[in-house]
Amino acid sequence: MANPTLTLISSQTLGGTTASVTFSSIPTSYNDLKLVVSARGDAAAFPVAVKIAINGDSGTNYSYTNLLGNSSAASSTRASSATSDLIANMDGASATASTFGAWEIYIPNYNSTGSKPFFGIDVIETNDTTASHAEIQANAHLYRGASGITSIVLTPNSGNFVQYSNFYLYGIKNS
Amino acid sequence: MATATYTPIATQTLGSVAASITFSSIPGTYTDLRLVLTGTTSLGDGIEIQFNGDTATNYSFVSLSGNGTTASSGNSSSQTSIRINTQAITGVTYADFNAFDVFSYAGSTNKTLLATAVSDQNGSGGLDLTVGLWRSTAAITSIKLLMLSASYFNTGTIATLWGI
Repeated sequence: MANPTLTLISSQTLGGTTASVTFSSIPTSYNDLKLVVSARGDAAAFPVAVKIAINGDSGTNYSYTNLLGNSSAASSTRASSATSDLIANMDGASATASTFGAWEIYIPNYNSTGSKPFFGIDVIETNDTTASHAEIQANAHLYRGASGITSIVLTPNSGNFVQYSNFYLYGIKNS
Repeated sequence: MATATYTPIATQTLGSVAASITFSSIPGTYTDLRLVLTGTTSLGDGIEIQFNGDTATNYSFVSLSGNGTTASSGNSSSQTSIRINTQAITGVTYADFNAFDVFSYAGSTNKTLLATAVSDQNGSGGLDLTVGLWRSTAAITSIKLLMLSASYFNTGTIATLWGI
């Protein structure tokens, strides 16, 4: 029987306010990547969007389509030929204290030299009666870079990540 | 430390186009199954999924979809398959990502599936989340993915089945 293959590559638990989180030197020995995050930002906005940069690429190689429910409405929007990808949303400073957004990002065939489609889902629940202060968002992502993924940088669109935000990167094999 | 998971059961990389992809002789030794498929299709259409070769009207499903402009939801009951990503597979330039999570697949209750289908085409495409039900108490021992209409999976499509 094959061996289990969900392997933790790297994790980071923030000890203080941090502007960005980087996973570098990602090994090529897996087939897929899975990123699991619990995060909160210090910007006043709600929600706080987080962008991803792959391999340091700031070219117009990113696009995404989202599907969002925010407790009052469902919607879908997209961005194309963008210089970064809004990967997920998280709680900001105006959200209920000590609540964190949760994400799961799945990147198949990350060593591929072709374009890489991937999927993410993120949720925010704050026990807040304010309309739109809770949400669930699913995203179709496409990175049109021609190299395998060796680094990932996550940066809040405004402000910083706060202490106790957690980031786990797993590798998965298919054999 | 908890035991690691995601045990590969089988993987298929298509060396030529195929109208369907089947995983058979699935062992009953796991709790859940996860099937991930990335690739393109010839015409652009949805994928159907059937279990244990059952082509009777034992399937139903509900979907939540987004196409970059609007969000929508629909459902179907007493179908001969679970149909997913009816809008996301576009058969165009960039590969799609599809994940199928089957819960308690070896149990003696009806089986629930969560399917995620995403296809961003840098200006078009969309995503679908589908919950499906197969009304059978049999353990799942085979899974068949097939295309709606006359479309087929293109060469290079990769499908992997894991036990969780």
